[in-house]
Parts: sequence; structure tokens; C-alpha cells
Amino acid sequence: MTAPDGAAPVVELRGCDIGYEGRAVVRGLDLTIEAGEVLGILGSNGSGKSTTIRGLLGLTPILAGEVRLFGTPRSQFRDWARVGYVPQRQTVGGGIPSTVAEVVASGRLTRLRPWRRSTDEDRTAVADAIAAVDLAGHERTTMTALSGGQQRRVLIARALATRPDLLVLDEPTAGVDRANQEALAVALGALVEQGTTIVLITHELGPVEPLITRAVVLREGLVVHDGPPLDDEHHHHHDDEWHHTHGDEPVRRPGLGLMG
Amino acid sequence: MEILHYAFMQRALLASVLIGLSAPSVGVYLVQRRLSLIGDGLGHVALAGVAVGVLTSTSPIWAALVAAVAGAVAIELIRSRGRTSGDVALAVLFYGGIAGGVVLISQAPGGTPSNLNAYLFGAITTTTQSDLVAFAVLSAIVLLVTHGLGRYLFAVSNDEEYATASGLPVLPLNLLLAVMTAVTVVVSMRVVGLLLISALMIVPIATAQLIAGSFRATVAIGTVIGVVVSLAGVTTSYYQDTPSGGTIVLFAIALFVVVATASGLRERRRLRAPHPA
Repeated sequence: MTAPDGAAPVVELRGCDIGYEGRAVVRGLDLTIEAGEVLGILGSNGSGKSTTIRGLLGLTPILAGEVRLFGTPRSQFRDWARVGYVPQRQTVGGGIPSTVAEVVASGRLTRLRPWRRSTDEDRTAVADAIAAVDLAGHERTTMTALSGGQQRRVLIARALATRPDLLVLDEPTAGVDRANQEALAVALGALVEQGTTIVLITHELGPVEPLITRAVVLREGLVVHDGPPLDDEHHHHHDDEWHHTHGDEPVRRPGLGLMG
Repeated sequence: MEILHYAFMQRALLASVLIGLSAPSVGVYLVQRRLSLIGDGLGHVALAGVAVGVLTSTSPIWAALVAAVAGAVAIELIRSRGRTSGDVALAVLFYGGIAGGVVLISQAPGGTPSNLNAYLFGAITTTTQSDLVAFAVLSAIVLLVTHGLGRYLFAVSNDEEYATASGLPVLPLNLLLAVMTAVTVVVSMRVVGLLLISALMIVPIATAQLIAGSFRATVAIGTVIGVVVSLAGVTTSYYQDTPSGGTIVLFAIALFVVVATASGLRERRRLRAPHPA
């Protein structure tokens, strides 16, 4: 998969060690993500999945190596509106009630100038983001009145409020019921059609599986697989480990292309 | 209204409106970040500044402002490191502030620790004309920042990690909020008092969040409650000869208890209803 003429890859990690205070969780990671790819990052708990995307986003220090976003070294990257992030946490905020529209609008800030009022375009973008996750009509609903899966969709809408070119999702399907997973898959499918590059961490593919164009599997901080999601040789190799690590979760399901 | 004939009462009432407006405007972000006790700590630190001001015969307001702002910056830097020792560092800073304040003020000419009462718990007779001007300027800054940059403070308070990942200037925004907290503490020092200001930042917001359905409504209702209890407290203080800060805070807490009880009853009725909405 190649980028359009002369366009830089969306993400480039070169020889990256990522971790805290000299303890690298991910080591020597080389990863290039081109525009339009839908990359699934897979691996057991502690394999470095979250650390990888947290390093990419500047939430976990890069101990060695280089990160580029849209061709710009991350330390000089300022165009954060092009990047949307959906954290793993299901809920947001402290005790103050906040509405769906308020939370989603907080994702729009990187497109705003301080001290300025929001424009019609900002309000449209927020409304579109809420509609994209099928929560139109819930703008004034308080977050705590929503189910866990709906709250997760609000966080996805927040990431969409800037109309990002790259969307990074940490375990978007974990702990989410089937109906909400399907709503999520529809939303992501629409973004893929618009050409959005998607990076998602998951160990439970479910309804989003058909969208994934490439899978990277991490084990103990190293890439052990990088290629199409339907790699028979690979999944036999790691079958037992997968099954073992997620023994309490329905990871191995008949018909699940990657791991089944 | 008889009380409006006295200039000191006019000043006290104006000061109470200023603090009633600004304390909840800052407090909403402190509650959201679960940092409700930070204002209390800054009050302790501000006391050391007050003492320095009294000792050097300069205005205690400006000395308190310097101390509280320095304390706020120190707290935020300690917090942003995220070390477990940060908790202990904050305790040392807070108790150092109040202990230093008590000892220093006792050394002031004609000063005994009992002079501290007005600073700690508020008094209606102490607000001077120049205090009022200072409070007006400081409150205007607090309101301008907390409302003008409210969306940013909301984003950082609501989800700091997400704000970092979106490239927002998280540390500067946190420092800004800490400094606004310090400024609010100083605005409170005449009418509410340094030991009670934290309550006026937190309790009106805690009450408002029981009935509000959005962040914006919480701020609006909390601010109205802040102004109402401040005016009620100062007025009662005049007629009953009680310390104004304590009186204001008791009004705020009484309102909280009433609203919490009412919303608890309403919730129980809703759950008992055969066809819940």
C-alpha cells in the first residue's frame, strides 16, 4: 500500500525504544503506517500494544529512535487536529455532570483559537461527530446517564470532532456489548471510506475485523508479526499463547480469521 | 436596608459578591479534578505571606498574593511530576505555611496570634477601600480567565491524558488554574478567611452538581449559590456578630444538605415509581 504521490507516511517509527525511566517496554520498533491503512495492533497484556500508541502520541517517553507524524518529527509536530485519540478508559471526568456535546466539543479545541467563540463550522463538526457514532439526539444527555458502550462512542466522537486524518483507538471494543461494537464498526467503516487512517489496539476483533487491512502482533515489546490479518502460518504458531493469555475471554472463536 | 448606611458594610457586601462570583468559577475545575483540598492548602501558604506583609508593614494582600501564587506553582510542579513523595511535599508546604505565618505574625509590633482570627475566618469590618479595589481587579482576572479559557480548563480537568495527546498546553493550563486558585484565596482573605475559602470554592459546586445536567449549568448554578450564601453570611454576621467566613460557609453547607436530601428523596421516588422514565 503506497501513499499518494510524494506524500509522507502517516506514522513512521524508526528504531524506537518506548517506556519509562530507562525501562523500555517496546524495543527497536520499526513501523510505517501509510495513509488509508487500517492497522490492528494485537498482543497479550503487557506486550507493549498500549505503550506503542502512547509513545506515538507523546504520552509515554521515546527513549531511543525517531517518531514522525505526517513526515514531521513528533517534537516539531503541531498539527494535532489531524490526530484523533480514543483512550481505553470507558468513562471520563470527575464528579461534575457534563453533556455529550460538552465532552465532544472538548475534542474540537485544537481547531480553535483561544478566547474566540466557536463558529458554526465548529458546531457542525461536533454535531457530525455525534451523528457519526449514532448518538444524534443525545447532545444534551449527561454522560453518566449513558451505558458504558455509549460512553465509549462519545469518546470516539470527541476524537472525530477535529475531522482527523489519523484515528488511534486503544481497545475500543473491550467491555462493550455486541450492539455497541456493531455501531462502532459502522462508524469506523464510514471513516475508512473517507480515507481516514486507523490504528486500533484490540485482542477481541469482533465486528471490526473485516475493516483491518494489516495486523501487527507484539510479544514482550517486539514485533512478531507484521502483515495481512489472515496469516495462517502465524496464528498456528502463537495459537497456544493467545489461548492461554486470554483464557477467560472468548478470543478463539470459530470463524475468527486471525486467531481462530 | 439599615446595613447599607455603613461604608464598611457596603465594602463587605461588595467583597462578598466578588468572592461569591470567583470562588465557584475556579472551584468547579478543582472539583472536576478531585483536587478539592488544594484551595485549603493554598490558604495555609497565603497566611505566611500575610504575616510577612504585617511584619514589614506592607499590604498583606500583595504579600499573600506572592506567597499563594508561589505556593500554587510549587504545588502544580510537584503534582505534575507524579511522584508518591509529592503528597508529603504538599503536606510540608501547607503546614510550613501556616506554622510560619503564626510565628511571624506573633513577632509583629503589637501583634499576637489572636490578630490572625480575622485573616483565618473572615470579618466584615476589615475590608478597606484599597482592599476592595484590589479584590475587584483580582476577581475580574479570575472571571476573565476561567470563563474566557473555560473550554481549555474543562478539557484538561475532564481528561488530562486526552488533552496531552491532543497537543494542548497541559502544564501551562494547570499552572494557570493553580494561579487562579491562589488569586481567589487572596480575594477571600477579608470576608471569608484563608481557612474557609476552600469551602466556598467547593460546596456551592457540590450543591450545583446535584441539580445541574451539564458542566455549564453547574458553573452557573454554583456561582449563583456562591453569591447568595456570601451575601446572606455577611448580612447575618452583621446582625448576629459572628465571624463572616464561618457564617457564609454554614449557609453554603446548609443549602448543600437541603439540596442533597431533596435530590435523594426524588431519586428514591423515581426508583419506586412503577414506570420509571
